[in-house]
Amino acid sequence: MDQRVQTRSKKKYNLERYLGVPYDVVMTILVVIPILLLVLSSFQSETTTGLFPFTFSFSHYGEFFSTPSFVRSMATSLWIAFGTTIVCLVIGYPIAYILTKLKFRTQMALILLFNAPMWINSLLRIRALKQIMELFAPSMIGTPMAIIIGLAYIYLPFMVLPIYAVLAKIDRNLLESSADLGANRFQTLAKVVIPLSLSGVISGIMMVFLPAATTIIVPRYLDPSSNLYMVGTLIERSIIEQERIPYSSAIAIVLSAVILAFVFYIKKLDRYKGVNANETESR
Amino acid sequence: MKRKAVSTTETIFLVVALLFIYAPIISMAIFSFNAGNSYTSWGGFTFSRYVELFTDRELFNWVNPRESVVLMTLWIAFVSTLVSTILGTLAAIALTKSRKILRDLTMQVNNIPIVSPDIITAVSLVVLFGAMTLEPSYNTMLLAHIAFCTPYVLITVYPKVKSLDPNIADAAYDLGASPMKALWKVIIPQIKVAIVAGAAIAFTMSFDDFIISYFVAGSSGDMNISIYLFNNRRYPKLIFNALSAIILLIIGSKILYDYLKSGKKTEELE
Repeated sequence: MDQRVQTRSKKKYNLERYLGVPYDVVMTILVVIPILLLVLSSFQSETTTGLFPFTFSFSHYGEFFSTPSFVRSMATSLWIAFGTTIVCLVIGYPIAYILTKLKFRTQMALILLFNAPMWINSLLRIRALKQIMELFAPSMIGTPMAIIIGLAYIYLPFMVLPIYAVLAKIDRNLLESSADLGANRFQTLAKVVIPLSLSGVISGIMMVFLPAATTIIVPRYLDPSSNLYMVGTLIERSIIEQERIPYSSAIAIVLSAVILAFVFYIKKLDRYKGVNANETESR
Repeated sequence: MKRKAVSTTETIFLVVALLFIYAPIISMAIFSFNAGNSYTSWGGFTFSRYVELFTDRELFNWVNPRESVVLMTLWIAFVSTLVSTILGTLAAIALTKSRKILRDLTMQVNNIPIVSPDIITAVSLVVLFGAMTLEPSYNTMLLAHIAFCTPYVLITVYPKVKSLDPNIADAAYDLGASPMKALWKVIIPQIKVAIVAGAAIAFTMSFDDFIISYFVAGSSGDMNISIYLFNNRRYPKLIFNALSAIILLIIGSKILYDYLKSGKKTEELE
C-alpha cells in the first residue's frame, strides 16, 4: 500500500482528494449545520420567528411535557408503530420464508412484485386503500385499526426485503444437518432459521417502526377527523399552521431521543450478527 | 440444491398477501375508466379521465411550466438527481483515498439523512432555511432534495469504487493519462452501473418525497405531486385514478421486462 502511494504522482493524489470537497461542503451546510441549528432552535424563546437574536429558554420542552395531550400523542404514535411492526412481522416473515423455497426465477419475480409498490407514491397508495375501505368497511375509517392497516400496507416491503435478504443467504446444509441431528421442522425453524435471520428481522423492525411512528399522511387519510393524535400530526400542525418553529424543534428533539433509545435497544438484541458465512466482509 | 416443495397453504398465503398489496391499486386503475362521478359505483366506460389528466391546468401546464405541478416535480427530480449524482460519485471516489478516520466520519454523517425519519430531517431543514431567511419555494425544495438524495448516491456508488483494482488507475497514469482523463476514461466507466443505480434511487426519492417537500415549501403554494395530492385529499379529483393507472403501467412493464431478462439470463446459465 505504502509503495503504491509513493509511486503515485503527486498531482493525481491531490485531485482525488479534492473530488470530495463539493460533497463535504454541501453535506456540512445541509445536514450537519441543520442538526446543530435544530438543537439550538429548540431552546429559542418564542418571541422571535427566526433563529437570531438568540434567547435561551427551556419553555418548549416544559410545554411539551406538561401538556397531557402532547405526551399522549407520543404514546399513541409509539403503540401504533408497535402494532404496525407486529403486523408487518407476522405477515412479512412468512412471505420471506416461503419465497426462499421457490424456484430462483420465481423468487426474483415475486420479490419484484412485493417491492414494486415502494416505487409508487405512497399518497396514491394510501388513497387507493382508503377507496377500498370506503367500499368494503366504511365503519373502519377513523379507528386505530385502520391506521395500523394503512401503515402496514405502506411499509410491508421494508419488512420483507431485509428478512428475505438474510434468509436467502442461510446455508441450506445447516438445515440438513439440523434434520440429520434429529430436529423436526419446527425445531429447525425455531433453533436455526429464526436465530440466523435475526439481523434481517431487526433491520426490518427498524425500517418499519421509525417511519410508522413519525407518519403524517396515514392518519390524515384514514383518520380524517383526527380521533387519534399522533406526534407527526402534532409537528405538522405546529410548523405549517402555527409556524412555531422552535416548539416543533423541541418536539423533534424529544422524538429523536426516543428513536435513538429505541434503535440502541433493538440493536443490542442482534446477538448473531455476522454469523452467516457470506454476510459481512467477504462481499 | 434440492428445495422443499411449497405447500398449498403457503401458496394461498402468498396469493392473499399479493392481493392485499395490489387490490387497492388495481381497483384504482379500474375506476380510472369509470364514466360515473364516483369512486365506489360503476357508471360506464370512458377514456376521458386520461384526456382530463393531460389537459389539467394545474398538473400539466404546457404554456407556463413554472405553474405546472407535474412538470416542476420532474424538473426538481431531474436537477436534484444530477447534482446529487455528481456530488455523491466524486465523493465516493475521493473517499477510498482518504484516511480511515475521515472516511468513518463521512460515513456517519452520510447515514444521518438515511436513518433519521423524514420528519426530523424536514424540521431541521425548516430551521436552516429560517435562519438563512430563505423564503419557502421550489428553491428550498430543490436544496432539501439535494440534501437527502446525495447520501443515497454515495452509499450506492462507494462499495463499487472500493472493489475496483487500484492498479488499473495506476496503469492509466503510467501510460500518461492526466488525472481528469484517468477519472473520465478509466474510473467512471468501471463504476457506471453503480452510478446509474444511485441516480435511479435519487430520482425516485425526489419524485415521491412528501414530508420534507411539504415542510420546506408547503406554505408557499409551490407544490410537487405529493403536496398536490395531499392538499386535494378531501375532495380527490377523479383524474388521480388515471395518474395511478399510468404509474402502475410503467412499473408493471418494468417488472415484466426484468422478469423476461432474468429468464434469458438463467437460460444462458443453464
